Amino acid sequence: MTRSSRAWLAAGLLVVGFAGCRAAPGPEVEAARLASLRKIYDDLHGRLEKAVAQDPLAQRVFADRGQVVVAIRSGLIEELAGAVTQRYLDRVSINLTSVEARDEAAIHKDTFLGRMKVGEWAVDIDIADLRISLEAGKPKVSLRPEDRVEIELPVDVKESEGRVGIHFSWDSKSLAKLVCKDFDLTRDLRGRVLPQRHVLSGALRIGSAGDSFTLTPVFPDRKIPLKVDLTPASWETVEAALRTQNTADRCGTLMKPDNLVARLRELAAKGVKVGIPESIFRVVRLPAHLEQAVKIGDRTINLTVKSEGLTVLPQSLWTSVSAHVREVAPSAP
Amino acid sequence: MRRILAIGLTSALLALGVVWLLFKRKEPPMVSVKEALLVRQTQELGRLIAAAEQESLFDFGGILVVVDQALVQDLLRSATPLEGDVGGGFHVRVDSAETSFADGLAIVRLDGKASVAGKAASADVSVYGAIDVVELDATSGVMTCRVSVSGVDAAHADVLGVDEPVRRLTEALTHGGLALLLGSIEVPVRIENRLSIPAVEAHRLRIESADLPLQVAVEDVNVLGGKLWVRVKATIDPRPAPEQRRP
Repeated sequence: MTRSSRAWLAAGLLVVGFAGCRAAPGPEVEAARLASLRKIYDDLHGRLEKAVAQDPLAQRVFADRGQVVVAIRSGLIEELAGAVTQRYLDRVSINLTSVEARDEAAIHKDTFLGRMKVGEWAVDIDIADLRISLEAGKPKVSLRPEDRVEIELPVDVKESEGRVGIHFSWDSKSLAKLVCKDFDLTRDLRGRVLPQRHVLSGALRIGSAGDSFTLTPVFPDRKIPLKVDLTPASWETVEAALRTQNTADRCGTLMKPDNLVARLRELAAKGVKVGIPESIFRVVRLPAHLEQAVKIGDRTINLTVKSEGLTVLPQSLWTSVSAHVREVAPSAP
Repeated sequence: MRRILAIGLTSALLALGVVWLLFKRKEPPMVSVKEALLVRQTQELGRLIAAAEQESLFDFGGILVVVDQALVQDLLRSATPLEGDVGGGFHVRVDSAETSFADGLAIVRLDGKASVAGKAASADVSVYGAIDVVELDATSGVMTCRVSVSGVDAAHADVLGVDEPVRRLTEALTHGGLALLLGSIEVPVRIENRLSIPAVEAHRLRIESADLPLQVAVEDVNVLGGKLWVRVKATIDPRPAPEQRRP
């Protein structure tokens, strides 16, 4: 074998040998590498522990004994509560049929016997067929300590028209009874709801209903003074009807129809108290829920999951949950 | 003649070496599971410290869900034994589970036995995995965790065959085997992508139910102090609900 052929053979063996070699460090090299890695790890771990110890949220979680903690940022709750409240009254139509209003007064006159009550009049308004349409504006929302989100919701009432029944009555008293007759008048009229804006104030109470968190509306004062009016033709009908009683024997003079019409206009301008139905304010569940069963592979594991209560912190709604395995449902065959 | 023979032999050896170098499997150097996990934890710790220093580690905009390692361990243990073919001709039975959520890694250790299909002999194995994916189920909104394989330790691995059985078992588990065996781990928290407002049927009004669509998605997951910290982004979807549900 020549020198050059020996060299070629050596090179070939070297390549094969190199190719066959594994990068297998000895145990000392591995131990040294691990020790150096462990040192870096320990240093980083210490720095992280220090940072975590200074964070109030982390400390709160670590102090909690629950297996699951769910926290919802107050901004999100306010956003959801506002959107829900707005939906309650947005593009909602309420039937006012059978809503009633009443006004009455006594009329006194100075006589030679002194000041005497000569009669009482009353007007009853009965809505026969009228609907109102509501449109909600952008609510003002703020999360309050304890468990509530306070809401101020502007509501626009759209103009609408419908049938209104009106009933006048006159009841003569004392000496007037001798010369005046009582009377009753009923007329079917066209009434209209004027466009107007009201602000409803209330709150959504945050609660826990077993496996979910709920927003329960609390709107104790749901009455709005609904400004109504009659159509011009209906006002003419009212005035004409009252004038028919403006005769000596009917005592319309005592009642003074013009005064009564003015009084009715005042009443309409002041508004008829209409209650927004309580059913419009519905309980809503927040989107985070607890599950009573989970799946791992093909096994269903039933749990006893219990919320340990809710806490409203300045920045978030907080709940802690205890969860324990109750039973494992057998695998599907 | 001898010279020609020598040159031919040398050339053949060289060609063989080059072919081997070119086509041999690109295998990573053998590193213990312990070391692999330590490397990952060190990397994750660096990320956590950076976030802590920017005061964004525990900051959340929507919903924060924190799950304790003990609950996940209880769930896994109650699901055991888990048994099945995991691919590569291996069969694995998991008898117990342990979890350790610390320093950036949610480690799941599954202990059991592995055998080659059709053979009675089995080796004790410990499969190390880490919860790498946390997501919300698109339909139900249930929070689910998926475990990826970090490594396998085996005692008496020779019963599983020659030619690096542990590496082959690790590959089988990595490429779908663990998913077949374990699937995903559900956490008992559901975050829905809508807020439902019920219908009203009353004397004076009738309102259909309505859905307020939400955009919800897992934004970030951190692991420390024995817990999994899942930040969920939740905002009102500016697009209207596709349809109003009838009561």
